[in-house]
Amino acid sequence: MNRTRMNVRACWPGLLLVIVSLMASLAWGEEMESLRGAKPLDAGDLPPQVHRFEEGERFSRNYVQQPPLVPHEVERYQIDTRANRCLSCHSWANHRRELAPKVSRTHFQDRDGNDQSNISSRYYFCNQCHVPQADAKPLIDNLFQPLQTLRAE
Amino acid sequence: MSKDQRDKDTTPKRGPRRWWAALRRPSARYSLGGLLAVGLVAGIVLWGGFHTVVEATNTEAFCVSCHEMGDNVYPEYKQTGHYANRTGVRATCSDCHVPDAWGPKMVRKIVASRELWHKALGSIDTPEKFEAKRLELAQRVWDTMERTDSRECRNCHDFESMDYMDQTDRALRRHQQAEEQGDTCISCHKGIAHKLPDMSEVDPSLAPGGLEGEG
Repeated sequence: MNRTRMNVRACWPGLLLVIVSLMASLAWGEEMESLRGAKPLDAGDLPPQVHRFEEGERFSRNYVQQPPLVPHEVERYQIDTRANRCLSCHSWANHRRELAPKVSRTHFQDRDGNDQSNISSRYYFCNQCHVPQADAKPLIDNLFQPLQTLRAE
Repeated sequence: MSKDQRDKDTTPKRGPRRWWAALRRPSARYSLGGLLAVGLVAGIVLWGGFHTVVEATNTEAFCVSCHEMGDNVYPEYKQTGHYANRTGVRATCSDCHVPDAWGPKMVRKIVASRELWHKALGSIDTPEKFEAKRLELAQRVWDTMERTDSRECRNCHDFESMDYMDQTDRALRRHQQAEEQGDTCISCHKGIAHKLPDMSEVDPSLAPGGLEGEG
């Protein structure tokens, strides 16, 4: 009696292995979904659609605090401690010559609210907030409605 | 000159003096046609050889064979549109930095001997040294291009061949303005094939404010 119970106990790991492998083989029959969708590992995947920037007409803002979008190409613009390509047109010194909008005066403030002589280092990296405009649809459906009071139509 | 010395001059000479004397005398042994033919062939070979060597010093491989170029400016250039772009046309080092016309090209090649001198001195043999001199070096190229009215740019980019209607609004406006005012390419198009140097001295409005007295 005692002996047979011992034998059953010894069998437990083997039983578990059989059950798990049975479940796994059942799951294998179904479509396996990974981050790249239900595609076999050796099949190619289409590259994601690239949303081209739109040059020209400026997009309206959708809410008051929205950083305005950039209506032109900014690829390969150098923005580092040595130089800032954006400011070569948008700085207060250059914007008249280039007929470009000038940087908001709020960008001159450091974190203590003191105005600096030029764009504060915390606003210096323009493309952290300002991105080129593109006709890109929301990735996830949502109920957001842009403010009609801001739209120029 | 005394008579003795003149007599001495007519005696057979040795070494270089003899060769010089032979060069000064008209040939009595070879025909003029033979001499011309040999001269012509030798001229073609020598000129071809010279030209081949000059062109070899115009290749990208030659330019980046010094680590000063290969480690600093070359990797930056590889990120730009003059290295790789939509149409597959590439402008390599010499297309922008060496004039096309023979005279200016020779002048540039002779001036380049200065670069050999500074290679020997090790003026920019570390990234730190290069960074410290970047503005000075860039300024020198900008000045040259201002002086030559961006001659090397215009080998490819010419106002005459620009289709303004194919350009974006802001490019169109600025290019027409530049053409009317006689502006040159480099006055606006700086840092297009290499990273810009520290521009705070050139245009202080490009630098972050509030960092004065920090670095």
